[in-house]
Amino acid sequence: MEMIFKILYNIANVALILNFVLVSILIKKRNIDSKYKYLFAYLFSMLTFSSLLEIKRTLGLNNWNFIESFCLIQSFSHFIFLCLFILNEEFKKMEKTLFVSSTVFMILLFAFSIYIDHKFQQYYSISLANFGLIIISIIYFRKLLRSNPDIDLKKSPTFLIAIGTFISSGISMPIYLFARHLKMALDLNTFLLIASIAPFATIVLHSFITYSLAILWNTKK
Amino acid sequence: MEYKKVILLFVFICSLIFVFLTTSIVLVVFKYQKKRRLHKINILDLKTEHENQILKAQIKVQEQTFQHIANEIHDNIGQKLSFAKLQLNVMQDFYNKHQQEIIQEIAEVITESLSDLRNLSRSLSLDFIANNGFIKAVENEIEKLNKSGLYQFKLIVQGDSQFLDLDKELMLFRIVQESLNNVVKHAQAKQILIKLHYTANSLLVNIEDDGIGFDVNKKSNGSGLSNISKRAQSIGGFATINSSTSTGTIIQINIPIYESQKV
Repeated sequence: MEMIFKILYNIANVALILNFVLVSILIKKRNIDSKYKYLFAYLFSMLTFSSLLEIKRTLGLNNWNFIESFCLIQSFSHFIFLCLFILNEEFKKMEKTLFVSSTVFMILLFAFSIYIDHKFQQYYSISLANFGLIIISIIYFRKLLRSNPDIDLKKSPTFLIAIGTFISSGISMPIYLFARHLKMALDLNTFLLIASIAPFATIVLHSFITYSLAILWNTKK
Repeated sequence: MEYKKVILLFVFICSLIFVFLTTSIVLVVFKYQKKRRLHKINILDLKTEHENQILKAQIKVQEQTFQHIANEIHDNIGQKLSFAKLQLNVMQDFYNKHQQEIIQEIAEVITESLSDLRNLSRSLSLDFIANNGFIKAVENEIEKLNKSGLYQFKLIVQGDSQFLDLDKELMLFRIVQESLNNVVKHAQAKQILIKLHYTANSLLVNIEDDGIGFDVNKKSNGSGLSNISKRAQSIGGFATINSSTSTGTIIQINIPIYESQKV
């Protein structure tokens, strides 16, 4: 089971690197929409934090609290950059209020998650970030249904990334939320099998991002 | 026991989220596609309406011009030619026999021209269709073209003929005129058959010729054929054009007779 988890985890990392390279090329060489800078920022931050965690794991630094606390920032970046990308279209007053209040709410919840359980803070924070992203995706879908329908959903990068975020956040949220209890309730193999859903969700998200970037690559020649 | 509850709760929440995700995505995509389809139909309707308005304005201007020319022919040129013919008849007595024959020939040419001008005036004027109806106007058009002696025309009227709205009759007549004009200009036809088939709800107009035909799919420079379709659509009907080099061309126009009915 550990093997499956590791394979999925590595595939998710490869997808992250691939998307980062793709978006960097697209931003540098093609005249794409400025909102993709948020996607770039998202991928860059995820890559940075993943690298730091990988370094930590390789060096076997189990008590490196400094890096541990990075998980909070990683969760926050995960929420904030994807959120900014999905809701990038002109913010109306209500959406702006929603965005600001949800961000403040997220910060408070992150702080609260540290307070209730320091050891499992990363799981709670990721779970909260995913919950926030589900809400943001719903706001986007609502906005989409209210706007003038002149886009082909199959070819809309923002819609595809929003769908990817919605699915991946939806399927990984309960894993992180119940991680602590599951770890205690299940044997390691079963836990790892269930925990494999988390990297699988990341792969799903990155597949949607890759597909969206491929669409941009083909249309912005 | 505690752990069992946690696992059950986990499974329950996962199932709930799965159902929520699937339903939401299907709902969003389905609703959006439906809205998009309706939006496209609306745009298409607006476009068609706009095109119809432009066409109606064009037709109105054209009819006004035709009416003006018809009035000019009837009131001005016709009167002047009639006066010239009268003067020639008066002049005849002052000349010798040979000169009288020449004057007679000139008078005959003027008579023929007057007749041609009268026919032309009729085919251009709205009054002729308003007073005599669509069938008479078509007969008059055929009579006018028959004078060239190049074509054999046949007009068949089937069913119980009836008067339609003046706008429809006028539009139909202009379509027939445009079609016949195309036959004369391009078809190299010898025989032309015009069939008017009246049913309870619609009128089917068939214009067939045995000419050289053309490729319907090929884009032509002229706007005659598209004009026929647009004019038919503007009165709630439609036109189909079939043509091949071996069988000539068939133009079929189907028009609803009552205002509320669309074919």
